Amino acid sequence: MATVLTMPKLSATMAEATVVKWYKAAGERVLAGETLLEIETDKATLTIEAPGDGILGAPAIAAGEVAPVGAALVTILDDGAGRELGTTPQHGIGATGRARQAALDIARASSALGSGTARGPRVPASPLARRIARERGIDLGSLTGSGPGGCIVRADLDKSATPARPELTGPADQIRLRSAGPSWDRALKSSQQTAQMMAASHREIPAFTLSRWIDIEAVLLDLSRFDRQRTETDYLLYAITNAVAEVPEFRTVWNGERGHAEDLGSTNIGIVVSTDHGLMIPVLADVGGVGLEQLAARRRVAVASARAGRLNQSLMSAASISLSSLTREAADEFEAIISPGQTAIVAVGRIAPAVVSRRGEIAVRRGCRVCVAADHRVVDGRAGARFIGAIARVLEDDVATG
Amino acid sequence: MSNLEAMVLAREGLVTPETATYREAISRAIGDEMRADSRVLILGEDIGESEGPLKTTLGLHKEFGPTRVRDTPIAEEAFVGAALGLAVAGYRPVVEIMFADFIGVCFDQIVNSIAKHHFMSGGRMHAPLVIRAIGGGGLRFGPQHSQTGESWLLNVPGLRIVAASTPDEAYGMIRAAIRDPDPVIVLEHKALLGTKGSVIFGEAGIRDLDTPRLVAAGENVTIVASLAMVPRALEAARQLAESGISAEVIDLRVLRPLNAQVIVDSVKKTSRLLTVEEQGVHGGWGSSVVAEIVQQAFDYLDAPPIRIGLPDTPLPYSPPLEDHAIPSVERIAQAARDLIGRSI
Repeated sequence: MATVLTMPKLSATMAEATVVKWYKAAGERVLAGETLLEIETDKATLTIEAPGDGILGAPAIAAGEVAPVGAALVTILDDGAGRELGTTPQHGIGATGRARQAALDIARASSALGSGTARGPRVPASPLARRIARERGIDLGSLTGSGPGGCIVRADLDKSATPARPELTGPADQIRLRSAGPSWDRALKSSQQTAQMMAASHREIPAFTLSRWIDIEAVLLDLSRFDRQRTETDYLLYAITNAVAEVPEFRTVWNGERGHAEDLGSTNIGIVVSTDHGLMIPVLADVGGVGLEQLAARRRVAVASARAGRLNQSLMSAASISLSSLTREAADEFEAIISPGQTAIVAVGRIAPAVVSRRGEIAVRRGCRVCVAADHRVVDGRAGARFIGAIARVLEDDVATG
Repeated sequence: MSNLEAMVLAREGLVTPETATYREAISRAIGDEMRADSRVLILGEDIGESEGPLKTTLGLHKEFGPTRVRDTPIAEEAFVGAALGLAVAGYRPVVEIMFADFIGVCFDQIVNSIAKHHFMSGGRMHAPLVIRAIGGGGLRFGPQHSQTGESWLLNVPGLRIVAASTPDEAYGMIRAAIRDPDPVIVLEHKALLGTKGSVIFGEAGIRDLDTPRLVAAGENVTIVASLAMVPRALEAARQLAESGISAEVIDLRVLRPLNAQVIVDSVKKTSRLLTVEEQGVHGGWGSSVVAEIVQQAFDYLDAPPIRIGLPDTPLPYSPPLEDHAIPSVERIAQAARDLIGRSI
């Protein structure tokens, strides 16, 4: 039984990634969780781990090559199948390792074939040309072959000026050609993608917004006991985890293909981080029931990793909700756009004193306005109200008493 | 020692290559091993005083005498069988098959006794013997005396089969074959017997029996050849270079067990494969090489691999027909161009 490891979609904006380095070679035994390779997406460098135990096949994507999301990276053959193949005596054609390797390569080749999208009349093209066309997103039907029998070969693809992906067309593409260098290019590409994703989100997600001013004095009092180890963001995250536990609809995300919401299975919360290379949303995975102290520690790692552009696989998990916190900025309140693939976003404006009614008296209290934007396909207004109510209760009461 | 290591030693003046013919290299390989190991002896037809029907045992009878350089009756089955007896009794016999075509006569000894002895003794016994078979066409010997026999034994487990394309390879592989603890078939080519080449004699000249060898580096097409097809492939590569096509030539050398790694690596670079063998392609080693490439480098291929070889008929005696049948330099170059199409 072979497992084909494919290029994962690790963020909503990820379309492809460059394989930076393989840590394991073909034929090596790998264990679940071992680091197999490092990839570089438009935003971050991160590592991919083995999904299970087995023998590693030949990498389908060499270091330095780019592969789209979903492309086969490598086949992992389980030990049992490896043993069945490795029974050749000393002089046999193909010693154990080679036979196993061959089997792995077959598995790889067939999985690569299986992912082909060819429909309609078959276009004569070499296997190499098909692979490159798949990687670059080129339609073979648009080319004329110069190989044996009019077969499309690599040279035809190299000559082809057909742009690989829609985002590389138009004025932005011309800007790319004039770009000053790789880092500029990368930043541009990243912000381009962010722009596209945001536009798509705004267009496609029927979002509604609820807001509430929340008294933050209890948080600030508690915070004063922890010198810099925590920030108000950690309390906001903590409040969100509790609110998700109370209103589990916020743990689900819309599946457009199936037309219904699906439970992520764990509480995964993204944090919007502004970095030199654009906005990033590292995800704190499986934080249901996690305490403040641990949450703070994980938040520090996540933010530092995002700023360094190095997110591991866990930090790029799928999330149902994100926090965008501008508590130290100038705006009183703002509505955020839901990150594509997620259900909601909690946007928190600046912490400032306000004149409020408190226990029948007029009081000046520090607080902030929390806006929750949510996907109406997944949650309704009542659930949203319960959710924001739970956030308020945690921040105003639970922190003070707990 | 690998060829590369030997070349480095030669460059540093630690060993001195000499110019020798293919047949001199064969004779010296056997002689050097006989000198180094008293268990080594050679049997064959007319290999004694007459120094071999094709003069491949030069000086051996004179130096080692009729006991260790033993003329045999014209009975391959008998003396190849005798060699197995000698091998299991502690000797290291070398058998010369005058024409590789006569492997047919001793086929049963090779397939059913020699190849299986180690396995059928539960691994307790080895059969350290070498069968040298001189084959190949182009010399007007007719259909029964011109075959290379390369693929006849290809699917017999227990055999190692190597093919020498240069004097250096002949010397190095025969010595290595004699030292191997298990049976080795060394295929030689009679059209190469008079060819001269640079040979490193002595221990430094002993070659591996494991892997094909890159003999000319190139970028656009990989040509795999054996025996007398190697020099033709090299000449085709030179002609292709003039028209801007860079061909990589690999001497298969070790037909069995087939270690295709060198070829896989090459095709991953060139994306095109051409095999050239002096035998019919059906069931030939070219088919095995293509199969390995399809399995191991499928999506690196930019064209369907081409195998060229003899037509599916016995090799004609008529000189023009014989020349037409054996892959020529022009045919090899044309096949390479066909692989490339108009894409370069």
